[in-house]
Amino acid sequence: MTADHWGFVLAAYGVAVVALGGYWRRLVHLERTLKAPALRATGSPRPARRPVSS
Amino acid sequence: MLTVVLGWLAAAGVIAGGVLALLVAPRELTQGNVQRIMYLHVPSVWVAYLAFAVVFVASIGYLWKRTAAIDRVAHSSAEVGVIFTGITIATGAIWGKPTWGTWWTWDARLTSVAILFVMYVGYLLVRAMIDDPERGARYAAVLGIVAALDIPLVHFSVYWWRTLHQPPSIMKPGPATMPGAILWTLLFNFVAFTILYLYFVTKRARLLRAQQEATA
Repeated sequence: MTADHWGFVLAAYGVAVVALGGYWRRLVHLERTLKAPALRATGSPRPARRPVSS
Repeated sequence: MLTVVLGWLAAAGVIAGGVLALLVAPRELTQGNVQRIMYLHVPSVWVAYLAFAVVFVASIGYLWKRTAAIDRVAHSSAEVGVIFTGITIATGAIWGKPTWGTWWTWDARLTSVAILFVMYVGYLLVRAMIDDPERGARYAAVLGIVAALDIPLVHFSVYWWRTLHQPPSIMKPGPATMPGAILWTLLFNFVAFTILYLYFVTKRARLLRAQQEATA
C-alpha cells in the first residue's frame, strides 16, 4: 500500500494555478493599461506638492 | 470574439480536467494518489513542445516573409511555452520527491528540459534587451530555430541515455499502455491545456499588436 501524498498533489496543482493565474492576470492588466491611451499619453496627474513648513 | 470563446472554453476545460484528475480518476495502484500529478505534468510538457514547435515554424516564416504578425505569434508562443515548461519542471520535481526520493537529479531528461527552459527564457530576454524591434525579432527568430533542436533531444533522451525518468506512456508510437479511465482523463487534459494555450497565444498576440500600434 503506497502513501497517499495528497500534500504533494495539492502543491503541484497549486503551483500550476499560481503560474497560469498569474500569467492571465498579467495579460488582463496589460489589456487594461492599453485601453487607457489618454492616461498613457498625458501621464497621470501629479498631486500638487505641498510646501514644507518650517 | 475568438479570444473570448477560447477563454471560456479553456476555463471550463481546465476546471473540468482538474475535477476529473483529482476526484474522478481512480487511484493508481503502484504510485497511489501522487500519480494524479501526471494529469498536469504530461499535458504541460505537451503544450511546451507545441509552443516551441510553433516558435520554430513562425521563426522560419518571419525570416522568410518579415511579417510582424508572424513574429507576434512566435513571441506569444515562446512566452506561453516558458510558463508551461516551468510548470512541467516544478510539477515533475514535486512528483519526484515522494516517488524517486529526490526533487531533482541531473539525468538526461531533466537536464535537457532545464536547458530548454533556459534557452527560451534567453529568447525572451533577447527580445526585451534589444531596442530596435526589427533587429530583436530577427535575432529572436534565429534563436527560436536553434533552440528548437533541443525538443527532440528532450523527448528521445529517455531512449538514447540511461535515465531515471521513465519512457513516455502516451506520446509514443503504438497504443497507450495505461487503463482507460487514466488515459481518458489524461486525453481530456491534453485538449483542455491545448485550448488554454490557444487562448493565451491569441490574447498575447493581440496585445502585442496593440502595444506596437500604440508605440508606432
